[in-house]
Amino acid sequence: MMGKRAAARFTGLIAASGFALACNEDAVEVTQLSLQSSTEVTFVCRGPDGTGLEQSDCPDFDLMGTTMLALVTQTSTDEVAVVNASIPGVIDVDPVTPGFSFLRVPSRPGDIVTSPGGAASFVGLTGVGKLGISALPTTCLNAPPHQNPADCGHPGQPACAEIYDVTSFPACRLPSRPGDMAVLVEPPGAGGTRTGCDPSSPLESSVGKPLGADETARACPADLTIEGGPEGRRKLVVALPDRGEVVVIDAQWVLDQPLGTFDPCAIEMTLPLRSEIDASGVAQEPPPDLDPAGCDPIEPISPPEPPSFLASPAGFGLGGGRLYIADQGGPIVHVLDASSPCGLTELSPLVAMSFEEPSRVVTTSRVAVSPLSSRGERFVYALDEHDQPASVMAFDVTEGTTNRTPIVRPQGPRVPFEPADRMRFGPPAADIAFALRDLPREAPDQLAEEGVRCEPDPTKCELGDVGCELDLGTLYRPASNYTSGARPGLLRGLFGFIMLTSGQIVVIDVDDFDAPCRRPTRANSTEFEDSRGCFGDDVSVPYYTRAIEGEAGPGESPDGSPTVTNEVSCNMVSPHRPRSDTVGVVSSTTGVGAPSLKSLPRFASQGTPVPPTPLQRPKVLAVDGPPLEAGGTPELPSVYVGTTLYEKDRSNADLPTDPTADEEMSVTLPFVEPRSYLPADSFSLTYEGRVTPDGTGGFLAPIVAAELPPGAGVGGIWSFEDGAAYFCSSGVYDMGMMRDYGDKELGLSGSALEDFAETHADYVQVTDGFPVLTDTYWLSERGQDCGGRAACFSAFGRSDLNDLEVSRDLMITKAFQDRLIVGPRSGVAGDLKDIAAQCTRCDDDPASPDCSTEGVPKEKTTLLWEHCFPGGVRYTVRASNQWVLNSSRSMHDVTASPIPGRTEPPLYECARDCNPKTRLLRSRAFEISSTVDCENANPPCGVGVAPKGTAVCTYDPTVGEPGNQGIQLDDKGARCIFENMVGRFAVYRGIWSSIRGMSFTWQTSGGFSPMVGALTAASVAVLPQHMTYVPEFQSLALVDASSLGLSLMSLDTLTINANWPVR
Amino acid sequence: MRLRSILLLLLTGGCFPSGEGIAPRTTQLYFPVGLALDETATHLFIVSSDFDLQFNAGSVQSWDLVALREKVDRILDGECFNAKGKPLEPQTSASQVLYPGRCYPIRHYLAQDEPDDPNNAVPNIPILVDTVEIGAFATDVIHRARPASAPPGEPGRLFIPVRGDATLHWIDVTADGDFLCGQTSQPGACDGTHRSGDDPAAENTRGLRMLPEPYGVAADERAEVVMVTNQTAGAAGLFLNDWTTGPKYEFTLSGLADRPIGVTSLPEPWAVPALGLPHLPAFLIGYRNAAWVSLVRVYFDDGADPPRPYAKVPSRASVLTNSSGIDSRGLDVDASVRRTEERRCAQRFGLDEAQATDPASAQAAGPDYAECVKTASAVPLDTFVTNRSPASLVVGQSRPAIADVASNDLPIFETTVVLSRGPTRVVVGDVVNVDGERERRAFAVSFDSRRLTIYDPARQRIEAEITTGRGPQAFAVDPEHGLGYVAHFTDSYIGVVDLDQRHPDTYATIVASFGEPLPPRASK
Repeated sequence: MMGKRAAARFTGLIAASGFALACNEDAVEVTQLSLQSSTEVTFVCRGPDGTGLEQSDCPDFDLMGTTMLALVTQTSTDEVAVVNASIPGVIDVDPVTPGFSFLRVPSRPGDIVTSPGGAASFVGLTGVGKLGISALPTTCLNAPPHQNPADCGHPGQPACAEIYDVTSFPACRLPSRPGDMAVLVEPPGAGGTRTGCDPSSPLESSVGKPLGADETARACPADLTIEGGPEGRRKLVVALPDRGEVVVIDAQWVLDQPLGTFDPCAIEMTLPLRSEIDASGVAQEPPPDLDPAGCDPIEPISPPEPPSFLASPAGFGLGGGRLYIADQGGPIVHVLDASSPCGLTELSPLVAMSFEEPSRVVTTSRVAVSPLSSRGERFVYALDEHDQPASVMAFDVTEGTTNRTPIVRPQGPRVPFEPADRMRFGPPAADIAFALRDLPREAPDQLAEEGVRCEPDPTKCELGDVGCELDLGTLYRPASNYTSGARPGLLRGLFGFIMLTSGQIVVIDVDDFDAPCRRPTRANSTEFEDSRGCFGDDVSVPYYTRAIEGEAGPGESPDGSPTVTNEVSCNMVSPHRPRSDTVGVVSSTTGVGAPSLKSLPRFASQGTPVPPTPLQRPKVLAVDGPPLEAGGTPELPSVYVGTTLYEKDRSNADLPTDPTADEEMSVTLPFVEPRSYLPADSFSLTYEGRVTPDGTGGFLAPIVAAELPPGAGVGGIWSFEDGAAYFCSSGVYDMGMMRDYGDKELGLSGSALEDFAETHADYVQVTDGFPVLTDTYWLSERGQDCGGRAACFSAFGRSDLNDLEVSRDLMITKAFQDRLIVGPRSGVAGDLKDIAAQCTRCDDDPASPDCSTEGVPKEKTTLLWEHCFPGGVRYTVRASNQWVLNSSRSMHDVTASPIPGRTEPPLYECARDCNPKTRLLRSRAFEISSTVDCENANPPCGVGVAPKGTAVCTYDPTVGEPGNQGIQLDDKGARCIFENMVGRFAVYRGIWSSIRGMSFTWQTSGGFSPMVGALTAASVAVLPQHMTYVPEFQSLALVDASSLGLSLMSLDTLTINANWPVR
Repeated sequence: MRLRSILLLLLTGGCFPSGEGIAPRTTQLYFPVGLALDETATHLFIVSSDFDLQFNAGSVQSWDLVALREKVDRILDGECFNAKGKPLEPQTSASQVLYPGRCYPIRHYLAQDEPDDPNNAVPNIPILVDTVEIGAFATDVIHRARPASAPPGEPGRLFIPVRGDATLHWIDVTADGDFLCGQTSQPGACDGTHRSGDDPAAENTRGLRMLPEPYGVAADERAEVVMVTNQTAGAAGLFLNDWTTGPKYEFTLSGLADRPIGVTSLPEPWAVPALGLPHLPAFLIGYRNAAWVSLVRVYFDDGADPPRPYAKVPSRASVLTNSSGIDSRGLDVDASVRRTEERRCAQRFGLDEAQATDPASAQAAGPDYAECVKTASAVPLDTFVTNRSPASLVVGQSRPAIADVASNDLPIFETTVVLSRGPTRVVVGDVVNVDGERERRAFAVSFDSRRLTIYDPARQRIEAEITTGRGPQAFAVDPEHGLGYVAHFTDSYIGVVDLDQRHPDTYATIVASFGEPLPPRASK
């Protein structure tokens, strides 16, 4: 049969050819969009007799003639489009009229829902002056009889029937704009099905009879009392956002309204929604790795309590006998007991709040309720309406769970750039949905079961084994080439889907049935997490590998064929986090699916006339991983370089770790959390590297004590100010912070700690030149002071040198967000004093305003700085006597802490953030030096001795066998082993001292890439509106208000396998 | 013919270069592209573009809104009448498809052309006050009232970018709605002195003239600064307006993204004069070919001798709320909430609007006023952008930085609202609610699909979609009287939209139309 699209084109071509004959012009075929401004969708299963069925009766596996229809609201035309979801076509309800016509409703359609048995659908009417509900009986979801232009209207044929118009469908008026709707079922009571909620209502008196005033036969009958689905009376629950309430309306009553009328809806019950929050005692529960003990600033606090708010019900989510309602007016998600719509009651709400911004009032616009997971859990996802960037919260609403706040997920320190209690996305989120899905496998002589989790235990009986009973879970084990069984592309389990306004659909892991098989083969039975994020495995199975005939039993050898994916991490699947798009495996066949170095780190010397030899230069090398138990064996370091796994002591791929024996450099990339890594990144580890981007407007000003907290100026001479710098946000460490670091991280104390703080606090490096020779400044009194421009060159040197004079360095004693208290860096002050002695302009009147600060005459060195740098200067901030790791993401643990009482203007001081989430946000590495003179040792070793008083971490590199003379974890100096979320290594001091600018560089690939489906693959211009999972199609139904209309996205491929409009 | 035109140009003392064809008819709207109201909503100014060059010029008309509203009131009362006030039958439903409204469009005319007929059943009130000819291919129009700080003169001024000769036309408007632009006859053509951007020697020290294809136009509240986008040059032109001598072209802001179209001014926070912050007028510019909106600041360069004003782009906001983010057309900003708060501060401290915007007066009000107005000026601004593909209204809100209240109102876009196909402009204005109070709305015009969408930013939802006639191009709101005016480009007439919710039957519908509809020649 020729489809409508083909017919239209055919007709068009015929017509065009006619014109061509007459006018000799090329025909232009005009395509018509059938769906426009689509917003909401509901699915209706229609039987062969035109009546509705339960949705699960479609698709038509039994050839019973059922049809799955999608009703799509069209907001620009006030219509509801009818789409036959089984074939590529839409239903034109007025085929006599050119173009596509759909079911007209009285005004702009809002939400649309269908009764459980499919007998009718109900659409909210939101147009000005016509607020209400219209009912669409399933019997009329098509063109009226005799509407086919080939069958009517011609001589000898019946007249074409009237088209459906707004009077064809019953409707009623609401007092306020309807929002989301749901059809709930009032279960039968002891006396049978109740009609009305109120026994005294007119509805109740009509028990057993058709309701409504219209006694004549309807062209579009719909009787909800006999439809399929759960037994009981169908009630519409409708949100009225402007009134902050929901109302209950009998669905059959709406259907029975006289056609052409628009009388007030008979509201059986009104439930004003809660407009206050009792947040006392409400607090989020951080996981152990985010335990904020001892860290006052992030102690979880109760959400802010707005004194009251007007509830503004938004998105509905129905599940588990509860109706969850997002609220755009206040920080709660309403929870209604939906077991009896006539007795609709509000339960304790979920509390929308933010773990990291506890003072923010969080409102929600959409919610989704998950089906029960295989573990009997249920979750609610709620869209944080105003978070920037957009985010989605997850609530655990499992029966018996008492916490009503967003889940705070573990691994926060390893995923510090995402809030611990939110899934965060760049573009705003448009909708949320869940899909519970299984593809059960059949075994010989056994029925397929749903919800079976993949079984990795190699001792369990799998298909082909003899003499044992098959464990169904083994059927889901991965194939060695990842083409079947557990793998990222197989969505088997419970998943969340976040649809972004950009047209991307992000897949979220909730309960992946195959998660147990997504892991490394090596087990870790201890309670401590290893470098691959594994812990708590069954002690009887060291490896998830099959037996090797004649060599090893199941689980005994790492060389047996794996029963799991052998991905690099046990956190490949992590609940309520985006799903990985790739197998976390690195191999020459699958490619780089896990963090991998593109090559071993490279060293670049800076400013040395002769490049240092490998022994002379500093080294960055991998080190052992910590043992899982006290006294246990350290983990041998390993890292992928390309697709080759380098391991310590591995032949052909030996990972360099010895600063004496190894000329190559190395680092390791911890596999604990794959989401720590960007898909690709570049790293540079630089000695005394830049901490902040280069600034352009720094001003050296006198310290005004009145502007600072008490004692803040102690130790400094000047205030270096740049309001646009954001020093704390860039990670600047002052002396106090470095002292804190030395104490807590390196175990220093006493004078060693003081020395460490003074020699390692960051410093400002003034990189600017002096005013040009022809500048009239040099003719001024100040310009002629101190010996003129020549004195500046003597004091500070040229600005175009590779390595600037140290006299340009200013040690930071105290850091604030907009200013730094600085003084000369250790060891250089004396050099300036001689030159500064030439500054005499203030000798006569040292108390003059230009020569003093708060009445105190300026020092000569101050006058010299002012003389040479009379305006704002170009500068940078560098780390002192340490290495700085830079990558595309800023990694530091510095926070800007407001100083109490300083609000005009506010003043923020820099402080180390005690938030455990910053634990791995590290970028500073301290050299490990030798306790022996390696240069003169026999044989020589490759680690230098730090000058007296500057050593931070030391060890004896002559201890141990050649090839194994790197620092050991039990060495005292092991505290300087660097580890952050994307790298672990030690930096050894060279025989030669490190020089500012020396660097090691490396690149990584194979970082985390989220699984995303894209509407934009079908059309560039999309405006996603609504998403729902249609289990009958194993697809997501996506409504796009722009060019795609309605689309079905397969969960097998995450590609669009069908879409309307038809062009 | 071309030579004759040039000679004619010379003889007429520097009028815009007229095209071929006859002069536009006095009363005829012809492809109207821009609407503007004066500050008291007593006159509506309509710019016609002569889009298909059937005439030798474009035109600007001034309509008497008092007279027009009187007619609208009668139509709302159920009457239909012709141009002479004679009763008419309501138009047929078939006709309403092209020309929405219960009655046939009412033709308009100049008072002197059509004197009132004493025998008319309904008094005949002419609505057309004045008309002048301008260059062809005008693209937009804005009206600014003369500020109190300006020298005495006519109360208002129109600024009109004209693509045909790449100039900015400017016309002074009298209190009676008459035009003053050097025209020598009535009606006539504006003279050359009322055209700016084409005289580098006289206008600026850089030897600059405005680039081709001007499109959008915006001016700050006092019309000190006028910004015009150049849609094919990736540039915008900066004019400094002198209320005595007219605007002068000062600077070409080049290096913008491709196809800048929409431009709107950011209202200067009243904290700026109160805190003594630098006066830096700011604008937002949107693009057809870039997924962002640029913040443009204007610097007067007062410290230089001679000062050479310039503009630059300190930052931009990405549009990530839909799949492409590009093809932005309309752009408007709602500062009403902030202004209300700022006025509240000023009233508390006894300042009127002129004093609040005058640095000396504002700073003399003291630190408490400064603190008050600083908080008020931190109220975010709503920004609306119409995106053509996908058809959407992108809604953003500014996040003013504490340390920089001067002009850092760059929006963050977080909401996308579905529009009908082919949105072009967006206008922020008020409707009258059922209690007779004004409520803020954004009105998005969709040219292709004949829709005017009313968006309620407070409730974050579309309130209504109005089906217009063919080719709605421009829209203006008269909030005081609860009316809107939509210019139909294709059929060259004006529709009147009821924006008063106290009229439940007619709210958000076109209730009347004015002007003699003229289908484009190609459709005849």
